[in-house]
Amino acid sequence: MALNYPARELRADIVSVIANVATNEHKAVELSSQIASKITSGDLKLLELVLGLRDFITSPDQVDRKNALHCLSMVLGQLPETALLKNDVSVVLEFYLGKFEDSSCLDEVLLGISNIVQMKCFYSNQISTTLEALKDEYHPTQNLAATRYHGFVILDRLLDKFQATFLEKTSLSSLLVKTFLSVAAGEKDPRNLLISFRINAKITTALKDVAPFKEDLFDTLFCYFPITFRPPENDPYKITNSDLKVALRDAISATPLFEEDAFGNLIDKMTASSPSVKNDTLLTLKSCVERFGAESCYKNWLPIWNALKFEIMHGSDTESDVTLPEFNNYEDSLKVLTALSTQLVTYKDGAFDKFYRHIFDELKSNFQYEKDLKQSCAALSAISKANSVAFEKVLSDVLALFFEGASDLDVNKQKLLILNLSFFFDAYAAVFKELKFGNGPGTFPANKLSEYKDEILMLMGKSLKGSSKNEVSLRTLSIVQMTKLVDLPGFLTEEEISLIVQYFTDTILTDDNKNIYFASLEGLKTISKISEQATIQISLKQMLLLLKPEGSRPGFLNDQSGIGVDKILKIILDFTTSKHQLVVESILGITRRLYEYSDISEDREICFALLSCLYSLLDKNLDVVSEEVACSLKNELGSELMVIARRKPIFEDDHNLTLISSVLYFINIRLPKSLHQGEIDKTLERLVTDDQVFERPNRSVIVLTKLLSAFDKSCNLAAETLMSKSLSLILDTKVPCTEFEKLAYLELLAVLSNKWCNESFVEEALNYEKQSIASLEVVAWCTKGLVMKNSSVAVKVINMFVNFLSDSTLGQKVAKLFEVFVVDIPTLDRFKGISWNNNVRLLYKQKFFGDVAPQLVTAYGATDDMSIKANYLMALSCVLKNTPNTITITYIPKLLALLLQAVKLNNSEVRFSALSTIKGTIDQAPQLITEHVHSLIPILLALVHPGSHNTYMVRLTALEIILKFSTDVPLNYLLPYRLEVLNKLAVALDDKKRRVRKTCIDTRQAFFELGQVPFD
Amino acid sequence: MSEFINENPAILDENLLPSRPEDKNDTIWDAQLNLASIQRRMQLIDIHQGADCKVYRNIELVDRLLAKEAYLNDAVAPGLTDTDTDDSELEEAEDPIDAQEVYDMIAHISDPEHPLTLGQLAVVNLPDIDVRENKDKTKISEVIVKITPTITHCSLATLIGLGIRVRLERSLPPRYRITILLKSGSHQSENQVNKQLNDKERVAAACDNDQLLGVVSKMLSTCK
Repeated sequence: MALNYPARELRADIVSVIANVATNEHKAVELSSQIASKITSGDLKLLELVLGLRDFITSPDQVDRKNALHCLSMVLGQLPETALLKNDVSVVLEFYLGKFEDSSCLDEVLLGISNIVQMKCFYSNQISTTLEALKDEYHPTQNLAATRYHGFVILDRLLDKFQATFLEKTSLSSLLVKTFLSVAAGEKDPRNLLISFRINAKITTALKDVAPFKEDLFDTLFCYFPITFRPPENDPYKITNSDLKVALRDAISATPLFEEDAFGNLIDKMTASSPSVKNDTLLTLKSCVERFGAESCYKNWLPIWNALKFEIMHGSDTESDVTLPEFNNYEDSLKVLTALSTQLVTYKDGAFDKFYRHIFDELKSNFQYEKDLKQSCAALSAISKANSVAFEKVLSDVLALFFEGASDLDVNKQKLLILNLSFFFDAYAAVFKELKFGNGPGTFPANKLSEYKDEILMLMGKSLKGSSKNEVSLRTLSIVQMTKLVDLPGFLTEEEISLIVQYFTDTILTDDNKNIYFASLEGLKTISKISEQATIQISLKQMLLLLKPEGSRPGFLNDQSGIGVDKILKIILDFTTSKHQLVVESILGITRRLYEYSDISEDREICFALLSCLYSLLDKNLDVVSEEVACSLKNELGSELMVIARRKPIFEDDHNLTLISSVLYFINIRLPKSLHQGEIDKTLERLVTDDQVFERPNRSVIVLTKLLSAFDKSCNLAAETLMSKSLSLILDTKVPCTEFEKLAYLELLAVLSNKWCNESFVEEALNYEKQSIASLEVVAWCTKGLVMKNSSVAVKVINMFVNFLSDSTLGQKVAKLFEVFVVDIPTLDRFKGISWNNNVRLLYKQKFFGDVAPQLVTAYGATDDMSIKANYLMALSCVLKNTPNTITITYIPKLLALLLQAVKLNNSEVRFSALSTIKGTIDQAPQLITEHVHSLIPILLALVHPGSHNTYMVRLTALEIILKFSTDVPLNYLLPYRLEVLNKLAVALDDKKRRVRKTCIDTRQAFFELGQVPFD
Repeated sequence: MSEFINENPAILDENLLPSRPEDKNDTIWDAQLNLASIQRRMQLIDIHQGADCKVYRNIELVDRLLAKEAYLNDAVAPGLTDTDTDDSELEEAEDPIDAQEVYDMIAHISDPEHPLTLGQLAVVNLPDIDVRENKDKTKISEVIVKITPTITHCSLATLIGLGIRVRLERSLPPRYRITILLKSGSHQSENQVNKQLNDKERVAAACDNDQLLGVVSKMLSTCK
């Protein structure tokens, strides 16, 4: 014995392995791998291990024998394949084979053999003895599933390792098959079935000369068909139903040898009544058709067609079944048909013709009598999908039938014809899908469908343009199908696509039906994917032309077409989505129109409509506006926009001026950073030097504010001078300043303090001492910029503001100022992909709310003066209104008492904001509200009464909260209030607002049914 | 009910039932807006298909901040606790109760024997609903609903009528008198059924019957 591993230690290891086998599998594996490593390193010989185990192996106690063998088998499993010599292998194999009678140890014996088989020195001459023993001395049905598994593993490993030998020696391979048949007989365990199916497929695909066994092999498979399996909970092997299904399907379709049995049996199964069995059958059938080859398909197509025909024509679920979305037998039957057609069309001459002729002759009469026409067309289309040859043959027959007497059709016939044609459009798409659009429209290969192209287009054009507006479904259908035609690779020429764009544009402009609107919109969108130019040249151009002014109004308003500006703008917004050129062209076009209108007319409304559209075009398509696009927009439109901004209908209108500044903002924010400094200088020159916005109040300052907020914060700017100037301008009470102007200056202060000004400068510049509401407002806006970057100065200022709330003269207005800190203003928005425009921290609201809310709660509790308390409530509601629920939810338990007071305050805004917070809380954490239900219900019922402070939204929200109670609050809390709620809500049934009445009806209905046992 | 008396009634598609076009007024709820602003808001909703877009929020914000500015500049603002403040000076526009509203209340009631609604089966029809509103809200107003049973010997006409009555009594303000009639010529025993449907005591008695009320509850459970 080697010195490195004395017998003592070996003995100890053996004993502990044996002790752990039954109780701690993990530990046993670990220990046995130690022993295995000793053998590998040569410190221990296998013989010594066997000797060490001898006493146990020969023990009269079953358990000892079992454990000892397990130990040996495990060690063998951990050895590298080269570790054992020829002699060792044969001795151990001999030993194991001799152990077959000991039925208690069979599990370990099979495990051991399966490991021995892996050894390099296990030679092909030992295969037959192993197989014989397995075939004759082992009876799978008498053993547990886990034991049987090892039997399969032995076969699997032999097959993998000695494939060449089996191919050489027919006798050996028949022995293998026989052994497999005996081992696999009567198997039920899912894991074993999985491996059994796999071995079966390997045998039929990898070995020759298995033909004599084909029936037996097929029977061992097909007796399981259709297989279903519901995995138990905590299944250690994680086998799913579909694993088994797929393995079985692969095995059945593995070899054409099964052809006779498979097709016959599967066609029998098609008569099954269960849809899921049918589906499994169809999928297996498809797999067989695809893998057995053309010849066997040629032999069997007729019975297959007959079976499929029934399913296609009379199948229960021709419409896709909503209840069982996981499969669709109708669709799958058609797929089998396509597979069949694909096989036959590549087979010998005449095969496809025979197959197709038969089916066509059967279905032909359906065209005449219009019976099952839809299904017939689907079947024929499935056949034609195989390739272009099949497509040509089928289409030449079908189209002739379709257009035979198609000159004068009524609406229903048109509808049917279009519907049925669509099956063949799909087929075209499937056959010619490899044609890329790179080849350009109109480069189609000659085919039957294009021979009839004119007829098809005429039919659709007639259905769309020629039928009355009431024929919504026909018109929608023809739009959808025309869209499909455009989408067919290479089918239509440029001119034909243009014609369709023209159709769609006319339709979308003149038709008010929603379905038709969306169908045309989808159509235009699809076309813009294929031919953006066509949509720009025809559709967009026409719409922009319609908007062109004649006199001071859009030209088309003078005729009676009834198309509104709103509608055109809506269409432009809807169909430009993210199409690069379309977006750019629309922006250019609309800006031109805006330029014209702002010059000739004083109509602010049309300018407003155009501007809002321009704003949304830029806002929704930010990804389109790249640096390059921004530059070209800036070059083309920059000066025009600046001119427009000074024209009367824009300059004098608050909304219009804000919108045009935002448009400038959107364009400038995307400019390359290198240009920003230059743009800032230009802007300052234009606005500060020319317009003198800091000398006296000027509305143009909003343009300055928006532009500065767009530029890079690392640019040079004399921000502190600008800030001082604006401060002195708005605080100067002698200079009259409109609200709009003041707001623009205040926003400018927020932008400056956020982006450029030194914090200490801001702190010094702010003069809190004066304590007028005007100066406090300025402080609030400057602080807003600091709050948004989580500055420490902001915390100080805010503490001061909280203190001001207790001031009896100023408090009330200061409370309103709390909104300033958290309101989202577009000038300080965060933008995807842009980090340099401002210093807005992601979680600043969370921090702010965390700082302020506790202070408000404490201060509220500290005072007894009701009017002061009201100030705190107002401040809280201003903050809540602008803070998302996800942030407030953690403070709700502390805030609830305040909220309950707030809803009683004589101010509708405070009430609404408090109610909204309560409503949001119920959505997210109803348990927080549950215990307050008893105090909330009377308050809410009072709020439902129309009154001066119970505005529309207050009443509606109160009702919505009561309605939410019925689903989110436990019954025992609610039932005592049921009658009271029902009675007191009656007043809201007569509310002035319909939406309030509707919500009240729903709420009452919920309370009428409260606590009812569900029906049936 | 293993065998339906009328197994194949004509069915209307639920989406094609008469309905009220969406009211843009519902989305605009700022109290203090002048007429021009409201029109602009409407226009925005038209162009952008709803108020859920940045441009709308932006305009809303401008209006709100301007209103706040005006409030802050206002020298004498009303106190928050004063009871006499009235912050909704503009009278709310009233949406009157009309036939469509009554139709919406009852069209989604399920038929007791088909898995369909009364609207789909054309048992209730918009033209057969008559709302006689009395301008003086302290006086009685009236709603008359005429129902058309699917067949002239429909034995469940009374049950359907009861369901409609319960729904309307729960949903209409108490100042309405509710009359439910069979459309003339639609039923064999028209008079009898009409009498039964509008007899207060018989209706009250029916509502005391728990089993019957259960059936009615089930019919009403599909109301939207």
